Amino acid sequence: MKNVLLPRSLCELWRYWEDEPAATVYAGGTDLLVKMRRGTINASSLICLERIEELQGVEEEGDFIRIGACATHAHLLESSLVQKHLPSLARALEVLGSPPIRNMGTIGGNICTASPAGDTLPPLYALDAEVELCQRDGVRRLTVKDFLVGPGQTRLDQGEVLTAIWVPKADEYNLQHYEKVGQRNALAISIVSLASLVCLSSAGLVEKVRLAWGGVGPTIVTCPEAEKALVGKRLTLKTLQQAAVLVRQTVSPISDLRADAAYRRALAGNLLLRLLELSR
Amino acid sequence: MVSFVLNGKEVEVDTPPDRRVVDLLREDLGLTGTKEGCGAGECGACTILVDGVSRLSCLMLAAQLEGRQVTTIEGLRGGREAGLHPVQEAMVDCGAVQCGFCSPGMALSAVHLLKRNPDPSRTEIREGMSGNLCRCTGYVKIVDAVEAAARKMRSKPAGTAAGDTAP
Amino acid sequence: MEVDELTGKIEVREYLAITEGGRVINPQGFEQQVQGAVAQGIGYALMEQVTLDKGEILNPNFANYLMPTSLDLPDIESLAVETVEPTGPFGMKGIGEVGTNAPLPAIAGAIEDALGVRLTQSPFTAGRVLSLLVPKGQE
Repeated sequence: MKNVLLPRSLCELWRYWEDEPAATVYAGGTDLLVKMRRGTINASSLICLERIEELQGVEEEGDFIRIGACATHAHLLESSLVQKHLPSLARALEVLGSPPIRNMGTIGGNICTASPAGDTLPPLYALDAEVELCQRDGVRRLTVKDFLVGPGQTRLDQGEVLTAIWVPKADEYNLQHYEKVGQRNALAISIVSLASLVCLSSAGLVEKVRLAWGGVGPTIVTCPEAEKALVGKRLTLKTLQQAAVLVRQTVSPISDLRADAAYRRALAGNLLLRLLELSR
Repeated sequence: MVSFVLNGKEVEVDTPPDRRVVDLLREDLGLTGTKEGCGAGECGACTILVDGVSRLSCLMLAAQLEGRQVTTIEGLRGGREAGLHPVQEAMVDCGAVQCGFCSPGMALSAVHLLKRNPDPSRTEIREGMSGNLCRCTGYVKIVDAVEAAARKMRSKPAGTAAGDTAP
Repeated sequence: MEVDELTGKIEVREYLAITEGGRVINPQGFEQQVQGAVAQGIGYALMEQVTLDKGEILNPNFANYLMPTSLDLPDIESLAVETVEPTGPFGMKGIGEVGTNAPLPAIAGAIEDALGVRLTQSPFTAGRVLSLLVPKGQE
């Protein structure tokens, strides 16, 4: 029998952790509890974060949107701030898991699980989001990019908890998208995904572009060469195909149960071509 | 010991805090309407409502229920005299039940869907039910049933059929 | 049926099943069985596969053995061609399984119709379809 504690505040969390320093922390449980049942994770005791108010909510803080780490995907989808200022994240949340999984899973959990195919991760990379990490005596912030080290690996320290995600508003990007390719249309792990933010001038020229891929490397993959190749150009089949070639040279996909590397490599480039129809 | 409101009644259950809610419901309380299809969140057969929101009971631990309002499929009915919830009625009338294993989860997901969106399109219904697998029906009659239930519930704005304890 | 040229994904947009199972006693039951069978057949065509490695099943669970969700199937329309089978009870033949037979060849035919090439290995995964669209050697 394992102890399961539900602190109602960060204060209580620090106290509980002092009593049970080896306790494993979880929020929605949609990753941890599955792994525990499978036997790939062993926890001696558990702390569930879902009742801590400070870890909930979505707020506007100047040029940033502050998202509580334990906000569920469903809550984020209901947030007008997320829909308005972070549409590529909203698109990703729509295709993550399934309705009950979205009611339970949290953005903080998705980040800390650090799957190379995690659906919130490409948008957070492209958006230059930062994670806020708290210990009993201090706070620090890292970009999501620096926080994610490899598959299932983050820079989360012992005694530290992810408390919030700070996302700069992306209002200057007038074309934002997230596309996920899975083996089916729900309850699917991304084979390849692409988050794209494009700022198109009134003349149709690319002024700024940020791209981030999931499923084609140990963590999220970006391709500055492809971004550079698009800046100052129009989104045409030719310019996108040229950028796609650079993408396919950059990604390092593996073959697994879901798809082989060659398909992933081809797809990573092809997803860029979707911007053509989206820009019309 | 965990205390919560189950299908409208306060209950106290003496169970280990790390007991899976699906086991608490089925084994400790004898409420076998909630099914386990996979134990990993991939099928939706274990769907229940917690504070009115659909959640997977195979991925919840007993301690998490403390103080919550829980609705299982047994609670949707509210007792023999009270009749069936419109969603259940529609599932019967439309032939949406074959083996019945997915049906409790489907019904509760539908209840939550219709609470959020009382007039869903067929596509929105499919999206709302996409966490519940069915092998028998091909989903068509389930979508028909949710559509029919939605129509019925919209025409009775004061509340659903007696016995709806879903908050 | 539609094929996405960027991803190779197949979407079955509409499905009409015309099935002959002898006499129809319970029309709703007949339709239930056909719809369920077509769903299983579409799953068989597009995503289902028992993956084996030296006799060990690598996907013995719902996470990795994939069957269609409600977002992977269209509305399935069913019409019965009613005949009478003299050796069957009340003229019936039964309708429990026959509906699974048609979707895979139907989809294979639709792929050939759309792309001019026939896939002869199922499931018709997006990867297999995309390789039909992209000539070998070109990334």
